[in-house]
Amino acid sequence: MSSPALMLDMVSYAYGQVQAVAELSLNVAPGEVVCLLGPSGCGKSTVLRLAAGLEEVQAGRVFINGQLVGAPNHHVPPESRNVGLVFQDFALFPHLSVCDNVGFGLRPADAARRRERIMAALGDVGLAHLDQSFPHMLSGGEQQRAALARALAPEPKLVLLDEPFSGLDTRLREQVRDVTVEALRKSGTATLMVTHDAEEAMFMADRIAVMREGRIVQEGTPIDLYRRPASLFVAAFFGEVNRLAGTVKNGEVSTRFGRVPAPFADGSEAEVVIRPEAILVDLDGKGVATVPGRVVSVHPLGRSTRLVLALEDGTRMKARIWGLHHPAAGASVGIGIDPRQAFVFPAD
Amino acid sequence: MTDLVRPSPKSFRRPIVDGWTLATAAIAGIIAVPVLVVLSYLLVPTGDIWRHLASTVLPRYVANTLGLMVGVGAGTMAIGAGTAWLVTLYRFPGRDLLQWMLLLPMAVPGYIIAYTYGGMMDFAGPVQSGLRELFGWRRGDYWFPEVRSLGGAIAMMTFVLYPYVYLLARAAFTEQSVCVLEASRMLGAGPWRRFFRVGLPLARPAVVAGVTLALMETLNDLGAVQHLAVDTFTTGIFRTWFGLHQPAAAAQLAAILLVFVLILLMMERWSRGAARYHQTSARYRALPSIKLKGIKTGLATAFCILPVLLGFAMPLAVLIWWAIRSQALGFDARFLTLTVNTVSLGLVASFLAVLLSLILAYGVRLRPTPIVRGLARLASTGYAVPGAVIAVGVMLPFSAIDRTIDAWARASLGVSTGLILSGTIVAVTFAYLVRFLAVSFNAAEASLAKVGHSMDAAGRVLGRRPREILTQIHLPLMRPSLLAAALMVFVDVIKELPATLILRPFNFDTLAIHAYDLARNEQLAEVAAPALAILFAGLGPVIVLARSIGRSRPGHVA
Repeated sequence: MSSPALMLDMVSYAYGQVQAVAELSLNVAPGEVVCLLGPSGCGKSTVLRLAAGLEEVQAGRVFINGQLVGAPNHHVPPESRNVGLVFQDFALFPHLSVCDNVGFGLRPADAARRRERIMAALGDVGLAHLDQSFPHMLSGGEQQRAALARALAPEPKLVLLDEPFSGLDTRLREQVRDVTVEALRKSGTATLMVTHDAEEAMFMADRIAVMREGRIVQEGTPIDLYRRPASLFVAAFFGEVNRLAGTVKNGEVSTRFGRVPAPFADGSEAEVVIRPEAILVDLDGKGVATVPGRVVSVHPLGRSTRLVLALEDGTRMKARIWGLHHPAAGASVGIGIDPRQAFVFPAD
Repeated sequence: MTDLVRPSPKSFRRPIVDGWTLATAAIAGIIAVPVLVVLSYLLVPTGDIWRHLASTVLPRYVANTLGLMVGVGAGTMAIGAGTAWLVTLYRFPGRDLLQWMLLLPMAVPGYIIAYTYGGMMDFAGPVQSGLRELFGWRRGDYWFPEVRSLGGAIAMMTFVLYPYVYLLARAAFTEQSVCVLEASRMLGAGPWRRFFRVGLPLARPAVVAGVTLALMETLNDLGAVQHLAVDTFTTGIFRTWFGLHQPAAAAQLAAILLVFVLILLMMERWSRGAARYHQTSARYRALPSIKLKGIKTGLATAFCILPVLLGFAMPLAVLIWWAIRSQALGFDARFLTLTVNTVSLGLVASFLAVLLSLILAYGVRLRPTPIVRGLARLASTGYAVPGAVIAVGVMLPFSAIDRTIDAWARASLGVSTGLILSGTIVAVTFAYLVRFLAVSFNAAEASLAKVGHSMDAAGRVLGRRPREILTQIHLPLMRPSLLAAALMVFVDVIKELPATLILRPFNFDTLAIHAYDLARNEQLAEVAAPALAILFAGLGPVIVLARSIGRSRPGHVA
């Protein structure tokens, strides 16, 4: 069995009084893309800095390709770890050409081989024609790709990406994301990426680890996390949710939309969480959605339409329906839920 | 999984204190020695000489020094803040030119302006002689302002030091108060009210900082006050050291002067209060400059031209006139030696200052702990300490070391080593470093701060050690700023008089020393050659500053 490209074992780190990372364990297998997903300030960037060796672990151990590189009083400095890192601000050296930037991490070799390696790395990200340019002459997307080429050129076994697309505007982001995924797959390197954007994580990752307050709260494939969130926090992080509170009775919570199974003790408070796309809206009031309500506002978004609904007692619900037909604001509709897509969590 | 616990051979245990912190501490410690030595004399019991000084000259030193500070403080504030306000807020003929020309007097050292005005306005000087000839007056028939007086010294210092206030006030007016000023205008405040109630209070920290700098230069001055016969602490230190040969008493005077400086610094801190300097947006905002009309145009132009004429054009014109009259501008062998001496001192000191600043600034960047920061601050407080004080603080320990080595060598080797540190280039250069390290350190720190920390991290991850990151990433990026810093230190060294005078090796003259000697012998016309050389060198930093002002003018993107 080959060792993981990166293995964090009960790693902790505190900035003064602030515990940024607490007893965190995480593996990244060779060739795997893992995303650390979490809100800003949850400690995910610190995990990246610990893996890179830019911070020293205060407790726990860090292994890269089976070698112990970080433990209290045992710190392999970043320059000896052979890890690639792409920064949020790209951090291209402004006084060096794109070519020299990409070649910066290459060991001194003969000029021809060095040049070949640089051009191959630039070719993989589609920048071969800009090798003589300087960073300030590149667009944001080109800078990001140059930074990726620089990180991949020394052929590291592990690449770390720190919010690599947050500096780009939305449209450019999708484009650069495709190039990045392709280049990473081609290089076969293991990747640990940090982001606060759930959609981005789902797009990029083989596996996602959701972080909160220095700990991993759930780990799994993108679809796992979306379909089976372990907590309200994870469910809410992957998109807008509707929340209905209720009391558990005989293993069920009864809501306005019927009973939902809730495997908790009788009498405890629980919360039913429903995604907008699991809200059923009946325009003519004759389907399975039988709870009467009214449309408050309509926001057509192209492929889908977002509705804000109000029940008779005034409770607001957010729904997302597909297709071109949608009710008008003020219309009376029937509202229901898809119980298979409802999650139940104990109330906080 | 046992193979996981194979320690990498490249790992290391971090030493308790790393090399960079050690270097920072060493530099800061050595640079702080002179100030600490002088301060220690506050604790030394005072002797007979001291009692003599205290009963005779000390009251005069205190009165003159305080008078000078009050006068120069008020003068530089009025001229500096006033001109800055006019050129930032109003449009009038010549404003774009005056904007940077107002900096020109910075190139003129206090002693040079004092020599030129002293020479021209004397009883025997051309101005008074001309008036007497014209009107047939004789001595006592008329009143004429006496340059060789406290008032004269205040005027001279104000003429060349107001640019410190101008520079900082102008930056503050440009950066901070645009919106507020527009708001106050909308609320119906007239121009005077806007200046005194909004603009000036907002720029107060900057104005106070500028005045503080000007006052530090005032306390530092030796040549001007000596020439104008105003006895201050600095002249007192000098006289006690060389005239009375009382190093301990001189050190005690220096210690009191240092206390003046500390009070000044504390007042500056205190006046800032809660209003810290905060960096506003770096982007340029178009200033709504108001076009002046009628007589106001002329007044504004005159108010801004006058300081340039008095502080720069006048001394320059006098020097050129003297040079032509005395025909002493030839490049004889003596002048060449002086220039070589001066330039080599300047080059050595500016190179070392930049090198040490770089180590300090990078040390702070690598380990920004409170201790390292504090050490770096300590190493850059010398700019506030008058040159004469530093000289005393360098001389005392250096000659003690020399005496110890000499005594040891004589006792054990039977030879005399003489002076190794004191009275050599080492002592002068060290004093320059103590005094001017802050100039280059601030430039190095500001320039480093512009480089994001992810650059360092990128370099590390790509296989470079901290030292390599400094040489391969930071140095190329910092080069323009470091060159500018070196230029500033170089010119400061060339202009420096009091420390050079006290510490220079025997028979080792510089341009400034030569000018000083000639002025003492009243060979004022001959002063022209060295003075012009110093003045032209001083234009270097002024051009650097003027260019940065030019870049922030409307139509130029900052």
